[in-house]
Amino acid sequence: MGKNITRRSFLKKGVVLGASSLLFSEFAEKLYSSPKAYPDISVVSGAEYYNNTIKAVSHLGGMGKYVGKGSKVAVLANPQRPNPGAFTSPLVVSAITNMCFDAGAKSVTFLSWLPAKSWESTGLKMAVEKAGAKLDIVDLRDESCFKSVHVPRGKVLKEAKVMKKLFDHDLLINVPVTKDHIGNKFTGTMKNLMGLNSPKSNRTFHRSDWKTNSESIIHLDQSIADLNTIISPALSVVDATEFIITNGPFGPGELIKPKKVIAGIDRIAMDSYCCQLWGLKPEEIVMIRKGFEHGLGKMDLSGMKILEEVL
Amino acid sequence: MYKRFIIIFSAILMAGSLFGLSGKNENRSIDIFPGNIMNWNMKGTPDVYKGDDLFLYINGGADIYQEYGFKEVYSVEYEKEGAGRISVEIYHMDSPTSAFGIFSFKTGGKWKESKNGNLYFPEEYYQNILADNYLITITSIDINEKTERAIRIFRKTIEKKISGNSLIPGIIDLFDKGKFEKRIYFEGDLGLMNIYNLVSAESGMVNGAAGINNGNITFILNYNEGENVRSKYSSLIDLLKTESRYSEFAVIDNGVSFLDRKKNVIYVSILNRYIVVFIGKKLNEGKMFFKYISDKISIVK
Repeated sequence: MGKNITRRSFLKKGVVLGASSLLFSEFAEKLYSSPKAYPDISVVSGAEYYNNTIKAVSHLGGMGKYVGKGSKVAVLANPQRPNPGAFTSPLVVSAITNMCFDAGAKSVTFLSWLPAKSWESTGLKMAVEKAGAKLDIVDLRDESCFKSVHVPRGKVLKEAKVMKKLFDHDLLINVPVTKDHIGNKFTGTMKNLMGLNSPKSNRTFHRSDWKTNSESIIHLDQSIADLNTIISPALSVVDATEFIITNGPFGPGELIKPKKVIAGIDRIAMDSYCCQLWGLKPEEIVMIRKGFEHGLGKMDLSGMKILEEVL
Repeated sequence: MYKRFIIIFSAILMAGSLFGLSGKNENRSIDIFPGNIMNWNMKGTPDVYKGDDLFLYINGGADIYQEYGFKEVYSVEYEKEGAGRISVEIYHMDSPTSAFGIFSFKTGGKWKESKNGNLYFPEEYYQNILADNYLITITSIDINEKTERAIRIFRKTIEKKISGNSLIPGIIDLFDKGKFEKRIYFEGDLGLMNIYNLVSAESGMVNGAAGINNGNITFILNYNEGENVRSKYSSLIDLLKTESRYSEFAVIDNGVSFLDRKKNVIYVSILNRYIVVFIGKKLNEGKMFFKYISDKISIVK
């Protein structure tokens, strides 16, 4: 409880200090990193995806550890397209929302600039609203919905354009679906944060010479890692229940069903774990390597405490 | 005054013909959609995204379509009570070659031939069809027996509406269907990189193809006739030498061999305006493939 209040105070202070302080909560991340008693990452498998999600978060100490009473929670899910395995499961989203309210959250808002149609056709809109959360979709073409944020540690991304509405919240929960990606080979916690950056700014991640220069792919990976230095979710919960391992991120593609939900704070470690679910090596995923080089987390899982449970 | 009139009149004519052409294409794309068949009803009207707006439709991953030459996509869902939903996407590409490229990319280099000359490849819950300038993807959004049966019916219905003229690029024919399980055509480094990340810099090719067999990958990279392919080849080898993930460089016969981190042998050689790259476990197989491709190229030439 004390931690929650302190965290809230910290974040409120961040608002006063400015946008980048609010977002770049490295201090908060260190302050609230899992105590030794809890695992660094928890992984729960089973046919009931809702229960997997509840269990995965409870193994980390429960949602109350991250969500303070009366707090305003922003959630970032991925409603990409209703192709199987291309979007965050509505069951995972329902579980997250319910846990936030149970922990005493004042509000839970799903932020997005993807069209309402994607939310409807994936069943995510219904899941969000049924659980009592709010879906807030901003006009992706309206740049005034996004705030310029300096990226002090950015190697190629010097300024991001972050959704203004994020700043109205006390914390962010990142809920991606892990899957294949044509450019990066992999998508997970880090890549999902592009969903808070304006599409126009995201386009600068793709250099104009991408057709003829493979270096531009590295530019994309570095940009994503840079963006991750200023947006630091309080918690990430990855949907690895059913996802595509070819033709990503849009699909349709080869679908696998590990039936896993992964929860944690360390985005690099979580992405490193997830990519191995379909035989990729973390060190071969440039985005993960770039995030590691930024000091955003651990790529080598051997020394980490990973709790795995099958329900 | 007369000159001015002619200019204005010509401009009106040109604009009219352009609009007419555009309208015709649009109608053709729309016409490909099946009507309401067997109680599968179209939900609303198809969404359309043209040119760079594709990035608004495909949030991440639109680049590959652009690399192949994308014009527009039409997308709509069908629904049947008690059965579920199906989506149909019609990608209109720049040319039959572009359409073949993205088709081969999305099917992983596998296809079957329809009686009417189209190509298609069925997967468990989706099918890709190639016809003329179009890639058509039909997907079961709700995977069950009813939607899976329906996507087969949808394919047959679509094939009655559009047929023939699927153009397989000549470079693909260098890989015999019987010898290679998968054959993929690419028009840039993004396509190449998604098969094997050969080089972290510009390869400089015009286009290329990959033949995959028993885990071995053979690339044929096509360079413009008249270009100094040998200097391109030397640059490519120099680039490969700078990459720390490769080791044990050796000059063998007419080419260069080296190892990647997974201990795959990479054998690179040059044939006319092509650079041939073999990636596999045994150097001998690489040489065999080189001989095979060499014979094929001399026949094609």
